[in-house]
Amino acid sequence: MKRNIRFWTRYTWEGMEVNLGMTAVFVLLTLFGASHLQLQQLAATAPYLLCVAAIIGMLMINTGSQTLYVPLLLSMGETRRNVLLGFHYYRTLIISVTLALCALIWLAVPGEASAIGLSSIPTILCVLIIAASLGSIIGTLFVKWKWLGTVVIILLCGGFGGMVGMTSVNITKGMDLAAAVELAGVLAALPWQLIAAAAVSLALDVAFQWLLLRRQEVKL
Amino acid sequence: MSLHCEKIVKTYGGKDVLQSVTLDLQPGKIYGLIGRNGAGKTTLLSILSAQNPASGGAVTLDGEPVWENRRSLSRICFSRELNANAESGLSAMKGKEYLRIASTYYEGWDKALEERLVKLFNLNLKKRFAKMNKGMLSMITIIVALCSKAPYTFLDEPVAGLDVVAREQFYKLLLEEYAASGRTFVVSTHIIEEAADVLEEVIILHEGKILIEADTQAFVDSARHVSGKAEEVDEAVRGLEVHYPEVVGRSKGVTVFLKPGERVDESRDVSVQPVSLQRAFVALCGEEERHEA
Repeated sequence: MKRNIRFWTRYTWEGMEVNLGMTAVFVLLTLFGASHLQLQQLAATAPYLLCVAAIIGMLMINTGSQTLYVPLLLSMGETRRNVLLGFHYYRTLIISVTLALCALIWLAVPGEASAIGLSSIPTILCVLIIAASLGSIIGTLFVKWKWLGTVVIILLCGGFGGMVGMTSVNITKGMDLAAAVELAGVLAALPWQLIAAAAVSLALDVAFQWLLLRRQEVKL
Repeated sequence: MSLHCEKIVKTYGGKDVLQSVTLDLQPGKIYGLIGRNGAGKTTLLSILSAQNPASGGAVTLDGEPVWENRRSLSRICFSRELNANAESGLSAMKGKEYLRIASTYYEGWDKALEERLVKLFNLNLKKRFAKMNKGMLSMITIIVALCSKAPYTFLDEPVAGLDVVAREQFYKLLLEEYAASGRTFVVSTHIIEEAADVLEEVIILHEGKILIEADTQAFVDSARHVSGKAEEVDEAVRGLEVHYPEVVGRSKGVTVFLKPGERVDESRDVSVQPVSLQRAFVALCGEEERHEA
């Protein structure tokens, strides 16, 4: 298990590099759109941008992990059980690091928006769990039924385009503090449906993954 | 103390790719796994290393099951043939990353040997697999196999795409590693003639069944090519196991496999010649097509 943890920890860091890179682009767009730079405004919005980047990253990376890294590790003598555990360790780690970074930024710049931001962490956690599970379910579909996985990936790419486009348009317009507080206020209320959706998506993902993994054939 | 598989069956879409294969791989030997395309070689190696599940049968290492057993799996390395056009995304991976993952997962990874082999093969590990040629990909699989230090190491077509110099280097390295470590190697190959001198034991897999599992030299020594006038040849090989008859006009040539105590009747007007491993393999596995033709 030590080897497994070493591999997935490194993989998490590589995933975080992608997420941080994407966040940097979003932040730059925000700066271009802002008429004057306000640290508090940036602090209020940057964690949300990091979350958007993490959602996109996990949807992409989790899909790729299922199709490439899971069979690769099996081919290098890892057990199916350990591959499953390692994959979930990686997901937990990437979500934890994302949330920790968000919390650190909000704590570093106190204010109304940051306070609401901190209280929205449980909601963000649920959203990240759903995104991570969706990414790996798509990867599982792709491994098992290539055509279905391809269709879902095409739809997802359309969704990504929209998501990145919308985020870019909104931030280049210059998001004001009031809007950030309003968004944080919406996120701070955690509906039970979201908790249920996160739990169901996680359960579905683990079930899908194990059903496939326990008899999966290595094809590289 | 061996890697043993018992009555392994593998079925794909109703077709039996492996049919009740029983095999015992002893420690400290170099085995050659030979067979035609589609004979089931890669499938068999995948099942022996628990990379693919069997439809039936069991694989054990020193009496312990291999499936989902980390202790057994840590003693086996199946260095797969790499495909630069793989849909899995492997083509985007760099050689460096692949070796880094292998070094993480194989307990006994020999970093010094890795560096030596990368230098010897003059490999650029910064290249992605998609940009590597077949020979380079083979070199990567050879590096993984040798550096893993796994007591049971399988190589699937390790010399595919390698030029003759690199192939010589590989056989030399294999023997060097074998002499130093006493590991067991199973080498699946189509380039039989070159490998014949290296392989201690030969396993011939044909249409999902093991036709031959024998000492290479003993197997080659048991085979003879008998040629001459058809009637003379028929008389000379009467009662023997005859394969691959070739008739040209009134002349005939056959390959016979002699059991202990058997011999070709050389009092007949025939020519009796020893055969190579490749020739013996063709005689055993090339017959159906000739009959169909």
